[in-house]
This record gives sequence, structure tokens and C-alpha cells, in this order.
Amino acid sequence: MKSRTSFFNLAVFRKDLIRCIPLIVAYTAFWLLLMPIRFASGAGIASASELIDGFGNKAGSIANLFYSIAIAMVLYSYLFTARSANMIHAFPVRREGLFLTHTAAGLVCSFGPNLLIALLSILSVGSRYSGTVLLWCVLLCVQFVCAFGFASFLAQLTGQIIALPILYFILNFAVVIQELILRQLLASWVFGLPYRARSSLSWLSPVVYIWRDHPGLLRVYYPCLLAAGVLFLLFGMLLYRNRKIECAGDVIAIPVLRPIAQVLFTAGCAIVLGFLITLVVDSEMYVAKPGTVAVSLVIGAFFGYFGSAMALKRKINVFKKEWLGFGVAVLCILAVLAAARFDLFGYSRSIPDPNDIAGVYLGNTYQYSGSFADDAETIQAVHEMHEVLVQDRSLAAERYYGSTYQISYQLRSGKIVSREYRLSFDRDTKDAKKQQFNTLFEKAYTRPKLRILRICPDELLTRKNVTSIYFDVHFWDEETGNTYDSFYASPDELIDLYYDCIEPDVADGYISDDGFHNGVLEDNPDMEQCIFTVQFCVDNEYYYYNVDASCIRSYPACKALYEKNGSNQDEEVW
Amino acid sequence: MIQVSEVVKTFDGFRALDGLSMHVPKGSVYGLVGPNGAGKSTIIRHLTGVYRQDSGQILVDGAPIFENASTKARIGYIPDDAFFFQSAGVRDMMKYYQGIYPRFDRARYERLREVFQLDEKQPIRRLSKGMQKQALFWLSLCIRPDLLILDEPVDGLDPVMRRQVWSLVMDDVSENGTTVLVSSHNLRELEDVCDYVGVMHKGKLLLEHALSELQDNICKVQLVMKEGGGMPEGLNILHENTTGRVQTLIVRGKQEAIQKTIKACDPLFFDLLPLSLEEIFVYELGGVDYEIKNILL
Repeated sequence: MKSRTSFFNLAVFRKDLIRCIPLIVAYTAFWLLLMPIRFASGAGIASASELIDGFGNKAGSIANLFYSIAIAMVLYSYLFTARSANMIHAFPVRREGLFLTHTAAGLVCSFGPNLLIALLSILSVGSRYSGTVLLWCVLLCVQFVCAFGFASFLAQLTGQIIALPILYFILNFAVVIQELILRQLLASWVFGLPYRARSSLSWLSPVVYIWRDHPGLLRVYYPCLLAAGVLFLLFGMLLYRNRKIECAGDVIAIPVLRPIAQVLFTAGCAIVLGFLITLVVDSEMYVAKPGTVAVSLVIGAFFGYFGSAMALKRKINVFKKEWLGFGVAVLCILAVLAAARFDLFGYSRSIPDPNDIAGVYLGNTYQYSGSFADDAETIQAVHEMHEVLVQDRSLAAERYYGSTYQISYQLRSGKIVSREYRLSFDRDTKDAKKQQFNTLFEKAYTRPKLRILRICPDELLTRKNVTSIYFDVHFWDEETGNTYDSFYASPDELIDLYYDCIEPDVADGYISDDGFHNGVLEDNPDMEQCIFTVQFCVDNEYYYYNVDASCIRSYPACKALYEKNGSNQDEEVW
Repeated sequence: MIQVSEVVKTFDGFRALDGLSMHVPKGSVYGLVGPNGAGKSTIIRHLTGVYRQDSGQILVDGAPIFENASTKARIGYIPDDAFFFQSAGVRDMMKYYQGIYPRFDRARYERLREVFQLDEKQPIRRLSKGMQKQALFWLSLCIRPDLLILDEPVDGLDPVMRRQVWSLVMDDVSENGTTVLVSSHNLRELEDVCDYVGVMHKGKLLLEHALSELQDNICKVQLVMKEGGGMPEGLNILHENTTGRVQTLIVRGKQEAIQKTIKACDPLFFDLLPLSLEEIFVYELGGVDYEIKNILL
């Protein structure tokens, strides 16, 4: 008789919940103390953004990072020992049924307490914040779905209870850590690599991404998290259906993935341990000796390769048969370094065609802050300077000296091409090449337009890069004293306001280079100050540019807009 | 009830089951014996739907068993190393079994309380190995299984409880026609309860016979021949031993035929004795590895 597929088993569900009770209690107690009890004790809610950003995004992402793996470890603990795995799978419940029942139990472990906390929070602060509190609840549930889905997926990949959280935390931060470390390591090998740039892959690490306050978090990122969580759960179920129960106790429970895991672990160890060893030997990473980096990487690979072989084969003596594989790993590392050193892929030599460039940013961390320009002459000047730079690598700084020069091109296609150089020379240098570069740099850097916009520090600022604009209005209130109100928005009228009022004020000198106004021009009894904040994105990095707009054109325009739209402090537009 | 055909299972290159075929008739008690590492527990895990075979076919009551919840619901399984949830007592596990096995018989559970006399609220993991086995028997018998699969079932049970447990199992067999597959090292125990016996070695079934058929087909002969008389011809002698003038023969064949052949030689004295199951296996498997004889003895 063919078995009927059952997707839920009440007995398993009940057992799951009973086993998770200690975790549920701890999680609920944490949020009770943080929210309803704190609110009821007089702290109240400072602002809606505090609730969403502080408790929802930041505290929530950390809490869910730990809570979801703990729940997954409890629910799937039976998979990791042969005794329990054999017994549970001899029961007349199909694997889909087990998986979906565990998933339902896991979701209840999060949704239940979240709803309870939301309800108690509303009761303690009143209905004014009910919408925001419910949004907090939704955010936490979405974070949990993603983290729990990922943990459930990994539970099907691993066969050891200890391996599960280790893998979970490594993979949660691997992309960011690896990319930042890799940039540092390769900086001494790849001329021009922007080693200080933030990882463009940080979206793969939800906690990091959420903590960096990226725009579009609620509208774009959270739906993506939800979708990712559902996908992880689906893939997890597929893996579970095909899981070999006899693999209980193995680090990787899917035999075909073991060689891949060994390669990834070797690469990871080579990079992380290589980074740490280089740091110890050569404290300033950017100018570390290439040889030091190479040896450090090989040492890291040694520990990674043989460590993973020991873990996967569950024996200590793996050295005799694994030397060949390790030799291949070393050759791969050396090949990558050689490709980087000799610029095999032309990365260091490549400069965009001037006709493709829409704008250019030039920065120097030592002398000036950076500036952006989009006029043809400035683009040409920077391009010319850059060409000289890439043709002669000897301009690179001696160890421990020099300052960093940043060049970013915004192409007409919308792509951003960035380079970063550590160079050492001064204005009085006698070296002909350095003098040539110096001249070109000064020519490019002192272009009029670059100077005017220099108050926006370090970054590119174009209408295209602006992701949102808002302003905080500080005013005096009879009852509350000195207080402020925030006006969030991303509509065109605010961008126009920036270009129509603030930029001309800057150009006319009413707003100084440091971003502060040079005097309030009219009486403003109820509006003490108006801080205009532009949030913009360059090369996957997000920046805030604050300017005190309480002057000539800017202040009346801001005031008019504020009076027209009123406070929308509780209705953030992200 | 169970039909296993050419089943192969490999663990990291090692063939734990190497083309195994076996047949367990409905309503029978089938004893599965073999040395350590023969593959007994591996085939049992296939028969309970835990493992999936690399090749071959496993049918339980005509249906594939892997991921077949409705067939698995009719199988009671007592593994060698039982698993219970942390801090779960017998009563908690009973509720769990009740929710999982549709045929769980609560009335029988209440009746069997008197037999097992375990503290239902005490966490099972704190009980002795023998008591854990009792708890497992208690729960497994309550699901009213059509097939009971027992892996070293009475290990750790005291002789009284051992007898009681077998009595309960045999009651199920006689009253409900339950099929029992039991894996054990203890041939003496199997001899008392089994209808069929299969011997496994290195992932294969060396032999599979009805116990009565085995016992009818081999016997021990004690024989004293007259001075100068030769050994009877035409006997399939598996083993021969002489003490003084008394010869002890292990002979394969029907008792009547052996008796007739020996009488024809006019011996001074002869007697035909039955063999124990242990002796049968030792002599039947005379040509097989030392290990198997070792385990059977």
C-alpha cells in the first residue's frame, strides 16, 4: 500500500514545543525586560525610529541570530546521533511531515512570543504606537524566518551538533569577513585595489547589513529575507528527503559535498589565518611584504586542509595520504598570487575610457577631503593623472609611509569603478615622475567645481546617488522645552530643495565648508535650527551628509516644506 | 511478509550488504544470526525504513518500506540501543507513540502495566538498560504490530522478564498472526522460539531454512562396529570423532535413511541423537570462516 503523504504530526509538534520551552521562556523574558516592562516603568518610547531601528533591526537581528540556531539545534538534535536518528526514522512519519512539523514548531516559538511582547508593549504605551509595535513584530518574525530557515538548511548539511552552530556563525559572517580580509591581503599584491571599501556582498550577512542602516531595508531587504528564509526551508526539506541517516556523526552529512567543504575550509583558513599571521609578523597590512603574505597564506592553508581532512575522515592520521591534495592547494594559492602580482586579468592597468565617464571622484586622505565633479575638463584631468599612476608602480609608498589616494569613476552605464593607491611623495620632491604626478594631481584636485562641492566630504554626490533626504527641525516648545521633530522623505521635492536652495547657499558661501551655516538670516521663534540630511550611496556604500540649512534660501524653503507637510515622525518613509 | 532481493548497501566503499536476499513468511518467527559485522543491524534498519538501499528491493507485505508511513505504522521495532527523549518518562513516550501509531492500544497499555511495573513518570534515560528494554517492549506491543522487528531484544533482561517478554511476543504471534524477525547471538534462545533461521555473514545470507527442516536433515550417530567391520557406505558424514571403540558421526540426511544404511552394516551398537541448533550450524557451516563458528558456539 502506498503511503499517504502527511505534512504535519501533532504528537511531534507537541513534543517539539515542549522541548523548546526553556528557550521560549528565555527569549520572552529578554524581550519582556527590553520592551513592555521598560516602557511601563516610565521609559516609554522615545521615537518610532528607536523602536524600529533599535529594537526591531538591531536588537532583533542579534536576538534572532542566536535564538533561531538554538531552536534549530533542539528540533534537529536527533539527526546527529545514530541512536536517535535510527529510532525517529523508524517511526511512521514521513520526512516531509517531520520537517514541516519542526518548521511549524520553530515558527510558533518565534511568532508566539513576538506577538505576546507586541501586545504587552501596546498595553504599556498605549495605542499611539500600535502600528509601529506591530511593524516591530513583523520585522522580528521575518528575521527569524530567514535565520531559522538557514539554520534548518544547515542542519540537513551537517551530521554533528557542534558543527551546526559553527558552520552557521561562520557562514553568517563569512562573506563580509572574507572580503574585508581578502582585500587587505591582496592590497600588497594588486596595485590599486580599494582595500578599505566596505564589502559589496554584505547583503549576504543579514546582521551586518541591517546594522549598517542601508536604505530600502523595510521595503526591499526584509521581503528578500523572507523569500530567502522560505527558499532555505524548501532546500532544507529537499536535502532532508535525501539525507542518508547513516551519516549521523559526520561533519558533512552529504557525502558529495565533502570535497567541496574541504576546499572551502582550506580557502577560508588560508585567508583568515593568513591574515592573522601577516598581522602578527607585519603589523601594517596594506604594505605587508608580498612574501610574508604568501607564506602566511600557505600556513593557513596547511591548517585548513589537514584540519578539515581530520574532521571529515574522523581520524588524526591523515598526513600520509593527503599531501598531494595539499600540494595542489598550495599551487592554487601561488597561482592566484602570481595572477594578482602580474596583473594577469588587467585589473591594475584598466582605466575607463574618458567618453564613458559621467563623473569622477578624487580624494586624498592626507591633504584634503574628496570631491566629485562631472565636467569634462576635470574628468580629463583626473584621467590623465590616473594614466600616469598605473604606468609606474614605483610611485607606490614605501613601507609605513604615504597617504591614500582614491579615484572613483561613475560611468554613463551607472557602474562605479574605484581604485585606491597608497603613494608617498611630497610637494618638494625632486623625483621627475613624482613631480609629474604631483602636478597632475594638483591640476585635477583644484578644479573649481571640485572645490565648490568639497563640503560634502569624501564622497560622490549626484542626484542619482541620493537615496533619501530628510531634515530634523529643532524648536522650542512651551511644554517639552527644547525638542526636535524629524521629517523623513525621499520624494523629488526634497531633492529639488537641495539643488535649488542648499547647493546655491554653499556656492554663495552662506554655508561654510564644514557644513555649518554662517548666520541665521531671519527670526525663527519656533524653528531654532534645521539640519538637512542627505543620505546617498556610492559604490555600495551609504553615507550621510549633514548640513545646517538655517540660512538665506535653505531655511525658508525647509520651513515651508515642513509647514506644508507637517511632522511625520511616526511614519518614516525609508 | 518480508521479501528482500539482492540488496546492496555500501558505507564509504565498504559493502555492508552484499546482494542480500531473504524471505520471512507471514506469521512466522524468523531468527537472524551471524557474527558481529555480518550486517544484521544494517538489514534491520532497512527493514524499518531507516536506511535506503543502494540497489535491490525490500518489500514488507508487498510494499516498499522506505518512507512508507502506513506500512511502518504496522511495524514494531525494538533496537539494540533504544532512544528516548531527554527527561521523557514511559507515560510521555506512550503519548508520543499514541500520536504517531494510529493503532496504538491504550487499553493494552493499561493491562501491560502490571507486567512491566515501571515507574511511568521517571525519565526512561535514568532507568537501567534492562528496564529501558522493558519500556520499549511495553510501548511496541501496544501498537498492535503486524511485524515485530527485534534487534538483540532480550539483552539486559533478567531471566524472569526474558521469559515474560517472549511469552507476550508468542501470544501476539499465536493470537494475531504477528510476524517476528529477531536478530540474536543467542542460538539457544532462538531454538525455543524460531520457525525459521537465517545465517548472515559478510553482508550475505549463508543459509535460510525452516528450523524443523534443518533438524530433520541432520543427526548425530553414536556407533560401535564389529571387529574388522568397515564404516557404512553412502552416508553424508559432516564430522567424525572416535573415542575408544565408539564413533560419533554427524550425518546429513533423513533419519530413516541413515538408520537403514547403518543397520545394513550390522553394527554392535548404534543410536541416533538430535542435534541442538548450535551443533547444526557448527557442522553445516563447517567450511565457512572460523569467525562464524566462533560466534555460533
